[in-house]
Amino acid sequence: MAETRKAEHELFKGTKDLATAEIGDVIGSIEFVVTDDLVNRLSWALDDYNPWYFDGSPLGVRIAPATAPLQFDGTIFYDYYAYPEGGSLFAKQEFEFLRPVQVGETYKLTGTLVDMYKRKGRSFFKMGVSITDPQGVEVMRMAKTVATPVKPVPEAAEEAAG
Amino acid sequence: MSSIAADFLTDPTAFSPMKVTAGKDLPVGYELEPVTKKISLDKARIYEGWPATRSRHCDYDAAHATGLPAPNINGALVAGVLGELFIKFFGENYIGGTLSFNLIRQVQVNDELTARGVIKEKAVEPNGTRLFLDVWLDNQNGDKVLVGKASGLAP
Repeated sequence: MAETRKAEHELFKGTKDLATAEIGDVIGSIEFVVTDDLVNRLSWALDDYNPWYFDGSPLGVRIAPATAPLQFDGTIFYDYYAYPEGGSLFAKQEFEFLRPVQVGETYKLTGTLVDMYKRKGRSFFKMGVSITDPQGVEVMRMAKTVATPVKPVPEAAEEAAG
Repeated sequence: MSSIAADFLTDPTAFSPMKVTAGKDLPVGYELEPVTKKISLDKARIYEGWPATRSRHCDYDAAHATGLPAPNINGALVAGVLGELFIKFFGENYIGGTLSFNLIRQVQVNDELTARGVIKEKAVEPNGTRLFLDVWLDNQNGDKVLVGKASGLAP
């Protein structure tokens, strides 16, 4: 039975308070498979039926849509850090495409906290991500920045809170 | 049979390649053919895997529990529109390329997003000419919802 009426923070398993986050925190890693179902779902959601996803590409393999790994990197962040009370925003993303991410292949995605800063009443946390294939070869590098809280803290209150 | 075929409608979702793709001779200032997508509630639910997954991005109860009046669209789905533009323009040379963006405005159910790009700079590298682009997504009101950069080699 699917769960419903859950607030966002209840969807994740993270327990480490973001207030205690430190650059270098090893956020964790997960394995994911680029399944036909995943590619079908992404293509359908965007009406992006590029034949390279289904029939093959000039790279010699069926490729996943460029941003497909975004299905997984947000999950590891809040399965490590506790989802903040004030909510969280997906603020920024960077990608470096090193090798094709292939349909049917299994990949390992590993995240590390690489930067954090405060700006305009919000705290920003940047997670560096490396994606490797079963041989350990890096196929993609990414960086995801999330911001909290959703409603910025007035600057005076932020200073008072330290 | 041909009279019936003449009445057949074209699939509006069928893949259509970009007419002009990345090339070293494209000038700085060249504007890419845009990609436009409407993000309906159904599309958001397909992306999220609803009803098994009920997040604030596709489910009214979950959105309300988070204090939102209605679901807002997942930034990862929004980014997918830009990803389509990126692969269509650079082709197989998206490998070796980069893409980055900031999400600057929330996207609501039924917003129509248009991915755009313009060549800002070119640089000769050992393996070809690298094109540097400004990229962004507009909504149906002409407001930018995402702004970013992309690069890739051009044959």
